[in-house]
Amino acid sequence: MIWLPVIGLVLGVGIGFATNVDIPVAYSSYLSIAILAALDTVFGGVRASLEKSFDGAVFISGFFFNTLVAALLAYIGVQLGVDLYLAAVVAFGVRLFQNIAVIRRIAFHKMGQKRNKEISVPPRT
Amino acid sequence: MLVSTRAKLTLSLTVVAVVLGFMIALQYKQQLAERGPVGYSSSDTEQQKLLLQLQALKETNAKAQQQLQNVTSKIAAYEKQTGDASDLSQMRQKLEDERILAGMTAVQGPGVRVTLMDGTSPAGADTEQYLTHDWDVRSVINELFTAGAEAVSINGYRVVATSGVFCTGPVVKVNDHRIGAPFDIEAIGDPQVLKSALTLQGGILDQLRGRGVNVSGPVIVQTIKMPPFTGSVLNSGSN
Repeated sequence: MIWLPVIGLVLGVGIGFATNVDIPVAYSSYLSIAILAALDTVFGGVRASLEKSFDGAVFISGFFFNTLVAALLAYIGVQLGVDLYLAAVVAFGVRLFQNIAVIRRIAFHKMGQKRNKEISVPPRT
Repeated sequence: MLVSTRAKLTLSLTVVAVVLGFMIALQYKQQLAERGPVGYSSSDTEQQKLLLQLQALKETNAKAQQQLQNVTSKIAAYEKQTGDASDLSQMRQKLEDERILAGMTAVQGPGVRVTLMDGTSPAGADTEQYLTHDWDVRSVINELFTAGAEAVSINGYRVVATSGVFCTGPVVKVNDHRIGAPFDIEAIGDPQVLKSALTLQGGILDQLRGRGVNVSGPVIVQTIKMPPFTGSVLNSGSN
């Protein structure tokens, strides 16, 4: 069950390599921003699920919306001559690290709880 | 309720992972294409055009060279066919001599070799004085020709009547070829005469040595081989 997303990732990479879809060089930077946004959303989803506040609709909509908006922002930035994509990179980068930090903390917390249980309930005869 | 949330979570994560993987693969492919061999993407037509032009020019060049060789060999054949009449053979001999002097044929024979090298200037001294200049090379060559050298070459480039030795910044231009120090000057002729002409008291080599230029030689060489003069006789050395 938990391996399904990993299998999905591998499947997506496989499809990407197998199909002969090519994006023009000019749009390459937008795609990289979109990937960053998508990564951020995925980690956000993992965090939410660990915090037991996961909402499928929010997650899915957030994924596609963030990705599109990030690409759009980069596009507008290019049109205006402002490096707006930097804003997207910084924002998503900071959130990415925050999410990972929270996930790490929760993981440690859970491990600690397990150990505490083992210690606090020593077997007695 | 809990199970349904978990299922939903897994399902949406999987969907998202597929899309994410797809995008990553696309981007990776893009980067690979960009990092590929220097600019052969489909958008780079200008470079491809230039490459094609270069190839065409090279082909034309090779063809012209081939033609020249054919013509030259034909001329040689005709000359041999002209019979054995004594005056004709005399003329042929003269023609051969003239060709050697003009530098049109490869030659070999005894001669001398002298090498001019930039000297190392002590600190604070005038560096200019220790360099080998174009006029130094010219002086040595003129000395050799005056002494009766039949063929002279600098670093393997034949010096003919229309050759020039010019200073072009840090190097010297001979027959439109840029060459730098050390200058290997070879001359075919009577070795003893050539050598004594160069080692004359207060002669050109003495002057160069006095200035601090590194001169090695002249040494007598039993067989020197020289290539023919390559280039146009009409305009070589005119710039």
